Amino acid sequence: MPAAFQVDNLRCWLGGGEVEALRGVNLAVKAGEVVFVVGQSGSGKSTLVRCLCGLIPRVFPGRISGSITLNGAPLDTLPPCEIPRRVGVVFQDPASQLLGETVEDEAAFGPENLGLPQAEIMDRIDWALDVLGLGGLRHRRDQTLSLGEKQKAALASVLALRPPLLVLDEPVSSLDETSALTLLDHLSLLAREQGTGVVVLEHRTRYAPRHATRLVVLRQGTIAYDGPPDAIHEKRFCASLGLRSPHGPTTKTGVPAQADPLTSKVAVAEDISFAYPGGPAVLSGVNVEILPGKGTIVSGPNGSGKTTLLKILAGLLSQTHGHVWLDGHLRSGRRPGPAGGIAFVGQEPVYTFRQNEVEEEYLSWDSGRANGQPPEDCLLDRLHLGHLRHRHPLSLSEGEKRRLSVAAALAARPRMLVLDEPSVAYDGYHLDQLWRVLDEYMNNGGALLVASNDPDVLGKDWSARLDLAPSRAS
Amino acid sequence: MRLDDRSPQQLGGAARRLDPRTKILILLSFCAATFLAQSWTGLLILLAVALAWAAFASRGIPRRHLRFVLGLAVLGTVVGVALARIWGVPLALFVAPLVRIVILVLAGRAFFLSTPAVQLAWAMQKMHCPRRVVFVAVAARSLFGLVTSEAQLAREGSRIRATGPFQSRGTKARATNLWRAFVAFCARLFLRADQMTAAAEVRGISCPGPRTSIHAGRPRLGDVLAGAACCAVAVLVSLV
Repeated sequence: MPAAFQVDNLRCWLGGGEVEALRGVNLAVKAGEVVFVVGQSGSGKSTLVRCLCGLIPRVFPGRISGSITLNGAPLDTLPPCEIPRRVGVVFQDPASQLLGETVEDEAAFGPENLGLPQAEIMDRIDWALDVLGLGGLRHRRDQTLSLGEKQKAALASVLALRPPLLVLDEPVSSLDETSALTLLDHLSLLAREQGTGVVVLEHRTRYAPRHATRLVVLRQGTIAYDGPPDAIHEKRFCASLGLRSPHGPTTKTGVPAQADPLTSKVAVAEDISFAYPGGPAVLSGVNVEILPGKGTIVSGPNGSGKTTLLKILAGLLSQTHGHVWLDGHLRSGRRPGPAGGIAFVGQEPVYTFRQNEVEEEYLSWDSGRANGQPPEDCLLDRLHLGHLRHRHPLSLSEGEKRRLSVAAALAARPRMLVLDEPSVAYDGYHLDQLWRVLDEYMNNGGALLVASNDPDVLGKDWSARLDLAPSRAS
Repeated sequence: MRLDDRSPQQLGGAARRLDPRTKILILLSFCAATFLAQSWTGLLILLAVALAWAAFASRGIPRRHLRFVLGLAVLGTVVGVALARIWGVPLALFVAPLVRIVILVLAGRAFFLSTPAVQLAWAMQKMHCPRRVVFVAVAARSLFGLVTSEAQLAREGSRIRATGPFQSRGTKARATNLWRAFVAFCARLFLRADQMTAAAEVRGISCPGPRTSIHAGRPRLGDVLAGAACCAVAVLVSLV
């Protein structure tokens, strides 16, 4: 049986040819194998995906050399319509992959393009939605889904194609632990029972030993390791390759501050409820207290209202019921407004950038400089952005944009820092750097509020935890 | 944004249940009638029908549509009056094109709101449109949603930015800020459009042969009657 795919000496130059993203990759995945491909940000994982499905140079500008074969057929001889029958691909950003109106339309889109009979399409939709636990959301409109639910919908649309090879770029980055494990279990089952080759590109290495049959580590466009996934438990393996540890975070969060927490609550939410106009409740009767020098984590399944709660506390949304106190002052619930002393870093930070250079952007948030003080220790270097200080913020990679937004938010020296899914697109090296900076922020009395599904974030030693139940909306 | 767990059929009501081919026919006849209508009565009838369609499609009081109509009316009046005063151009010269634009945008919006991308693709395929044309239509339909969601994100980003220590003061600084937000908006839109194209490609949008649809069905009597009625209105309006 031919390999599900094979690449030999694959080199890839992006854009006009100035950036060499892949430097001679040799990789073969057999039918029935589950291969985890891990690596630092910028190591070439996403480029490898784009090459595998022929999008470079057909859709994205770039040049490739070497050979790629899918099920024994050279990729360059395959017509574009043949590729979806051989490889199903899910990209990083789920929101940009939804082309239908509802979750059902999404799952149907691929099989409809292949011209399959209606009955078979319905069977495939039922199966794909069942695998991902999306049955209850079948008729929900894409626009109303949370990020995690969108990721599941994008996965469903590819699973319904039932290709012999699945390539998934960070498929569980926005999923809660239960959904992630269920999905990976199903992928393993697909590989075992139907012989599907599965390639998962992930930062979360913790899933590799249980679900992968092989581990591949990419580093600077080349393969640094290709072998059994158990190697990930070896001492210094992850640290030397800049990967996340499978055992979870190594640093602790939430050092008690000097201030008396009982008298200086930064924010208090009391009996908060929220519903979008005409829709069911997203949050109902939520109480939370944010204390200085403490880290609070908000967790819960996809669609449970984590982001909504953060936005209410940051003044970007108004609760429909309940009260919010900021620094002891009651905030009006009728109309959202800027919340002084609170910095919010959302899942899409690019719209907060207003300067032409990274350094300018960082300095434009520096509250010390605004008050005439000299700039403090530059966080750009500590978050590994120093070498990019003259780049345009919009030209940065996703992980770099997220690090810049955290650095800028911290430069404003807020009383409370609110981070929504801060670990997405972070590798182990940069995640460790982020925790160090955040620990220091809390040591100086800052209050940290984080919403996340990532076990590498949830596993830290948080001062307070708030677990939101699934909302009726989902 | 509206969170709702009702089925799309319930959401869109009668406008959504219509056969997509009927809706394409209605849209095309609307476009033709808008350009052919010569009288104010005709234009006002078209405007009323477009508003009703948009209201049915968005199910509820079409406050957004009314705001849009009112906004354009105010803008058009201001521009028209200014030009009439400065250069003596007749006011009526601006009003008719303005009403035409409003009708076309409302009808387009109503069509998009009541026709999911998959239905649109199937209907176009049935009408023997080439695959590339189908893809462009589906992409345009999806871009419509993309622009809305990006605009929401941009608005949120601006509000986050407003909490920063440096606030832009003066017209020039505000204009620069607005320009940079617009650049980010365009950059994101292009990036997401690229990703959407890639997603459509890997889901087989380029596959040759007939495309099937889970929404496929024969036109019912109601579809035929609705299509015929709208076409008749369009023809009458053009002839008045």
